[in-house]
Amino acid sequence: MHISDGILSAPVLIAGFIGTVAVAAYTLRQLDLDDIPKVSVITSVFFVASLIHIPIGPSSIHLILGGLVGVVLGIRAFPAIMLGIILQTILFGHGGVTVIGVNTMMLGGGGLMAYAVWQLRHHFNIKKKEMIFGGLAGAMGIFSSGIVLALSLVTTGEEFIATAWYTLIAHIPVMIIEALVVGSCAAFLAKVKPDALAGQLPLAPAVTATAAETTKPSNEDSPK
Amino acid sequence: MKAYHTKNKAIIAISWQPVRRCITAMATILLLVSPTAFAHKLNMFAYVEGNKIFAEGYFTDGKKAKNSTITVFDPDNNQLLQGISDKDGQFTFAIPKQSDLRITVNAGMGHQAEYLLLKNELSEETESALTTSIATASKSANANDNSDIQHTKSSQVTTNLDNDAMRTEIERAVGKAIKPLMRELSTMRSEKSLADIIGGIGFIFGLFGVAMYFKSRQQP
Repeated sequence: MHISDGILSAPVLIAGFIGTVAVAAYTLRQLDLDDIPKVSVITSVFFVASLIHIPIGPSSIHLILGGLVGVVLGIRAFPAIMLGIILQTILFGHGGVTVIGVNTMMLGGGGLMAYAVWQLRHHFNIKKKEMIFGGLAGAMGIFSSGIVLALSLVTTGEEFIATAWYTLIAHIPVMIIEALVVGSCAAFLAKVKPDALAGQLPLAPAVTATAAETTKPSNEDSPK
Repeated sequence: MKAYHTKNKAIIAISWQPVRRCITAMATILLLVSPTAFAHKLNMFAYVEGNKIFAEGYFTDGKKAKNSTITVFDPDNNQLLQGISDKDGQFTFAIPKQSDLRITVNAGMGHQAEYLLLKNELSEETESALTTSIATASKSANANDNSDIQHTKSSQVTTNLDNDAMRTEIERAVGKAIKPLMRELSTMRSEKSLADIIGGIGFIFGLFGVAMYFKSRQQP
């Protein structure tokens, strides 16, 4: 899910760059020293994930894992995805240099949306909520990236509704597989190492923590 | 600063043990699944076959870019012609202009690739060769005796026909023979090896390492 060079018009490309720089500047300020090893590992996972194909029937798919990045890194997902996309563009020619901004908005935005869905789990008290909301977040990452993709293609004259439908239908298998992968990863991490996940509540008083969580979603897993 | 450093090290060493194992396992499995196939990147190649240009779009996993819009531009970015590829991702068209041609294929959903066909790859050469052969043939016909003229003419016509037929036949055969080569070449050009992936991961760790270095200097 990368847009190639030479499709989008200049205003869209510039808007993509401006949006990316703004969001990246904001999210990079939230990056603490303690987060960096985690962010770099997850960035590598994201970077590699979309290079590797899994054959399914006559076709093949590749994972995008924007959702997993969002679930593990929270809003730090954005700079992680940005770096991943820049390297994919330079080293593998995915997308193109002029579309780095739009592609980052598309996939990084998907990561942030996935994180938003992931945070909703605090409002539910059900069993296996890590798995359920991890799965939803995984699907949400793809879904919102598809919406951004369709939005940016509208400017080229492709009709929005049709493109959006086509894109979403084409990505349904990816969405399902990604939901399974992210869901099981989230459940696994919740079991073996809960504080590796983004937006985990501290073990102390739950009520106040929930309030703090919803107002300040940026501070979650930085152990001060 | 030293204390901070050791604290950090401890965090990494203790907390990432299971996660690291999980990631290593995942990466190994993924690499084993398909070591050579990479993402759904659209590629295309084009070449001249007689007085026609043959263009084909395909994804790196081997799927053809069917029903894609193929557009041809001249060096001044004027659109010369546009067409839709068939179910094999192929589109054949007559040479629209004797100049460098930029051919793009758009497979929808933001996939686009382009290919530059240089002027000297166009079939000028074959055309000139054809005219030369005709000229020499007619020259030799002029030199012949009048008595023989009827016979020569007919034989010359057949020779020309033979030449023509042979030429197209050869061109077709050569075209067919180099097609897999062209495909292989353009795949090789676009495909990257495991070394690039590992290099990319190295980049990521290196950049974050630099970031960590500067961050840790800022903090007392």
